Amino acid sequence: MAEVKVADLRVTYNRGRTVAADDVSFEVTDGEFCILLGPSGCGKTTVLHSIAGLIRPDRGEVRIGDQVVTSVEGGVYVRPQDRNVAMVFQEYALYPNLTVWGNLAFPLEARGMRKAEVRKKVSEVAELLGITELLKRRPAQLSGGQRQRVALGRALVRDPSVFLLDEPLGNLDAKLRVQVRFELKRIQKQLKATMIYVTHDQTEAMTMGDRIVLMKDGKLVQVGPPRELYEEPRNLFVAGFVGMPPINLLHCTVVSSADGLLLDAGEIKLPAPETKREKLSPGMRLVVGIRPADIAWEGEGIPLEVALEGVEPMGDSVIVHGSLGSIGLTAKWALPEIQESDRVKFVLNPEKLHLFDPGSGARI
Amino acid sequence: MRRSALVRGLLYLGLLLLTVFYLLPLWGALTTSLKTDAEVDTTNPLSFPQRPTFEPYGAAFSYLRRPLLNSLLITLGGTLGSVALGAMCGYVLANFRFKYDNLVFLLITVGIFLPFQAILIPLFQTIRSLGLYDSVLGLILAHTAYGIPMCTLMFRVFYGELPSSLVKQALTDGSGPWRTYLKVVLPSTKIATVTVLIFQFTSIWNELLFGLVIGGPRSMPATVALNNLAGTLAAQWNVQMAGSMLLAIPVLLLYIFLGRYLIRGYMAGSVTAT
Repeated sequence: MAEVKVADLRVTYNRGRTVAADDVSFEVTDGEFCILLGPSGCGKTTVLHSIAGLIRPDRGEVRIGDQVVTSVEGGVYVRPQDRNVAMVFQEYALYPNLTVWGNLAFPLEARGMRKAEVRKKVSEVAELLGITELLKRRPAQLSGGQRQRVALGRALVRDPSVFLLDEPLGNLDAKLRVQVRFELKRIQKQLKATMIYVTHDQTEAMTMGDRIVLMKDGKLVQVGPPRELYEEPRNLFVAGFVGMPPINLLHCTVVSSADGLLLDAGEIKLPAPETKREKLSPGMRLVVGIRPADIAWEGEGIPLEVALEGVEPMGDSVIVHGSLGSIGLTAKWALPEIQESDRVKFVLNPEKLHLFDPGSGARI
Repeated sequence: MRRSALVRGLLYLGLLLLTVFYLLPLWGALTTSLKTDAEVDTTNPLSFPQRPTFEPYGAAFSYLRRPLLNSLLITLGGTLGSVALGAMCGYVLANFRFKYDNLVFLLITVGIFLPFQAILIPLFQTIRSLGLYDSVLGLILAHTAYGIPMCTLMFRVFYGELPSSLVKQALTDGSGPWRTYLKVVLPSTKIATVTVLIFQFTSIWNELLFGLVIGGPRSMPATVALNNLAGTLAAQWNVQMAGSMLLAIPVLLLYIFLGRYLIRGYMAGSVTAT
């Protein structure tokens, strides 16, 4: 396995008219599970294909291990077939004319491996993924989950420097997705594999990633471990994209009162967090973000009596929608159910508020 | 309900009549080719032969033997050449981006809209200066070149139906473009290949003008020879019709045995991807 380094990558389409990725730099350390996360069209697949060599960027450098595989400035471009990367596509891309065995053996045969060695490797991987009894079938005779396994197996059968996965779970049903998610993570840990995984699903990103590279409009927005993106979102976009249900956002003005600075959102007035106090001044406008999970139903904090708008039971938890005048708030509670009534108490902890500049969206 | 059955019945009747009308010349050719000289002169061309004879076939075959062989060689050579080269062009243009790729595609396919007649004189001059006038090889070359645009277009469309991730997958699996083509693309698109093969075989087999212009006594294809037969053997209708039948047989057999591929190929979904 190897580390991957992307530096100052820029990719354009339509003769430079569409910028798919710009100024993208990040590093994936050896054995790390790195997630490229972002909404569709943000350029994450473009970055992945640039690492694979399927796209030649307009600028920048890609390094796998200690080999420079793409360097526009240095005139280096290693062809995809010579990069030793293993790729898994969302649509699996199994070779329809070959059996499962043929599909698994393909990358080994392409590298000229000896027959006996191929047989050994293929059986090992089939064993690992529990697809031994499918080896004689063709892709058309497999279910979605089985195809997914074969696609994964075809990547695992090699000894690649890095695994590149492009929304590999996108075509699976919800139950299977959770199962394969867990399994993939387990295999990655077991092999100490370097994986770069593209997804637009923040749940996948949060649950699987050692580190998340969040992209928007072709640029990096924030790079860090999942908890960091959740707890210290760099800007409004990150705050809104990461976390489910989405963060509550309130437009506030800072006012001073006898008790100190207050964040005034009309119907709700909250004390400014201690840690942010010196950055605030009366008259300042800002956006306050409150994670649904940071709104409690009891305990210390600022209690609010809100009108109950609706409850979504999740089995082990409930999502509670409340409103105070024109302001809507969503809370997530680890309760199996709540007493249905007109009014409900939301308890806010001022120290858990996220503050953002409304103009730039940047975290304060 | 009864009304729609009546409409349907009338529709079938109409279609049947049109089919009969369409097949009449073929029927006439078949009956005439089985008649003796005397019977041809005295009977209606559509009437069933009273004493069917294969003599006209013998006469036609002895005259067309060499041209039929020429036709076979020219058609096989031209078909294989144009399909092989067109397939490679189509594969590259469908799967790989390179500088001016669209311009290259446009320049190749503009050949489809080039009428035969417009290039006859330069073609004749080129073939003659290559020393290939009146040779089977010259005709193979001409048909190969002339077939490439259509084959390129058809293969680009067919290969475009393959998920692009398939080729990308093969490349990252360590398989170069050639190996990817032979091991993945070609076996996944058999119907497409058969479709283009039949299409090219039929067009080249039936083609007259190139054979007329750059073929000669030695390399004359059967279409040209049949045309000459009409001029030299005045009014020997039975021999001419037997010749026509001989010429039509290979194409008919091709359609009977492979026609279903052709229809599937012309429709969508000719590509067996998962």
